[in-house]
Amino acid sequence: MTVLAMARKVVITILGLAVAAGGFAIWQAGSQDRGAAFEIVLKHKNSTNEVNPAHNVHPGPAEQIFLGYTDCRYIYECFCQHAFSYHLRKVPRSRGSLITNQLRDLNQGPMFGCTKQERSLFDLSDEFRCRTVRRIQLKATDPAFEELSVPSEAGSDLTVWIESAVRVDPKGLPLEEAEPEAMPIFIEGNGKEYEVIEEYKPRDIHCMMRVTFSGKVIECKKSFTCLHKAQNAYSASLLRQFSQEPLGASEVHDEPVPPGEIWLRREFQPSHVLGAPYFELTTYVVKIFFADEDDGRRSTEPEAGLRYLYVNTAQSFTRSVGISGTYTEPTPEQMAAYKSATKAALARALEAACRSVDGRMVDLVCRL
Amino acid sequence: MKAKDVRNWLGIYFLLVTGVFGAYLLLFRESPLLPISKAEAVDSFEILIPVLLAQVTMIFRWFSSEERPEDSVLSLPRWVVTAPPIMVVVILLISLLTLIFGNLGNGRRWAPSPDAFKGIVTFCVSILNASTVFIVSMYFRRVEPRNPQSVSEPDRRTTNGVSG
Repeated sequence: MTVLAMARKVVITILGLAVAAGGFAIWQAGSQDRGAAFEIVLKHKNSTNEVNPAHNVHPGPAEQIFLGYTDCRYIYECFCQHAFSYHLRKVPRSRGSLITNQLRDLNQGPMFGCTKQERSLFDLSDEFRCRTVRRIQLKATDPAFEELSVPSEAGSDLTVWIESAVRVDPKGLPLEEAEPEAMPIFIEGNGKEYEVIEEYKPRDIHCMMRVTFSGKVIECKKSFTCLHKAQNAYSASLLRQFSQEPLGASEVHDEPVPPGEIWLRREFQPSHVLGAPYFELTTYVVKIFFADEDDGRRSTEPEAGLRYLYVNTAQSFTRSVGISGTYTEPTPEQMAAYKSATKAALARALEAACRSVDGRMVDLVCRL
Repeated sequence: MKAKDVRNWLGIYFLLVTGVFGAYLLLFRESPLLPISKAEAVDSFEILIPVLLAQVTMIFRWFSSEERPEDSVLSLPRWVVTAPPIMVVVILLISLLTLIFGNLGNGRRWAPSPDAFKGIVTFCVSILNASTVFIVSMYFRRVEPRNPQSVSEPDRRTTNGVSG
């Protein structure tokens, strides 16, 4: 036997083992309803006969499911006003099998309903999210059913079809497993079938404090002492940007402010964001802290081993028509206008601070 | 003032005031020209306009009737007819101007609140109710068409013993 023939045999054996292992993995992934982070389906191939990750990588459902509106935090009516509620409606057998057939197709097909969410500080990078439909097994006593009442006739073992959101890259490749918040679609149990009805009824409540931005802004590769310098520059830049139009807020000095926080306020003054005749009473709470991505340590002071500076900005906002009017919660449109103005101020502050400490902006983070 | 002059003056006054203030409250609410919220503008509209519209209705019903009494000079001083309506317009204009200028720029503490504005509108309606509404009801009283039944009404009551 020549060396070449032996090498060929070894390669074939390795390939065979790889195919067998892959097949076993696929069978395992398919047989499990929950817990599989990714599931590769090879039958979906594009015209160039290559596996398209966007079509073939199927993120599994999260370990712990919370039944509710998908991507709730991106929707004001959901996150702030708790506008969506769910109840079950029993369906006849014929309709039930029709629905489950369609859901089964969605379960096996690629992800769908991909959307782009504005998230970044500079509005340059976006977050992409897709939807999946999955079938999971839940006990009727599972905490997931906290806000969805299931009739006792459905028994204790339930099959629940859910729609989940998955964070993906711009090409549609899943970046992590599906979100734990999942929208219930259809429930089977004890031979009974129920479709989930969504009811939209916004309540007259609003967010008192809303997070405008939260994320990493500065990275110090050299030493942790450079973080201190960066923090000073960033704090000064933040104060300058927030004091300018359109926010026009000034630092709070008459109240004790916790360490690592900057409080700014604009009291009973014209709103430059909304324009006349609106006046505003707004408080911004900017939290600056240091952290390390690897071990998750956090501190309000720069320490050895912490390389990143994070910022979290929240604001409470009330506005009035006229200076002497009643200061009430804003509409979602007005809140969105303030959110984008705050994000723009944060972006300008970071750019200015980065320039002042001779850093460079890379992927929306100032690197030193 | 001749009765004809009083009717014309009041007719034009109520028509103009109803149209101008009604449209102003609806068009310019929650704007620099009327810095109160939409709900508060609607409240003011609901306080002011029904009273004014009732006067307009009486006036136009009178002008549209076939039989109108002849002009006559009533012994009413001129100020009784003109002073309350003019006072109401002046009060409303002053309150609107203070509302507008008080909220310009950074705003002034003396700017009336929306509640104060609603109070002023209610006050104006009260002034009209206590004064001009009586004048309107006197000058624009509906003339009943002549028919035998209406003429014989007092006689029937007398025979029934109601009047005496």
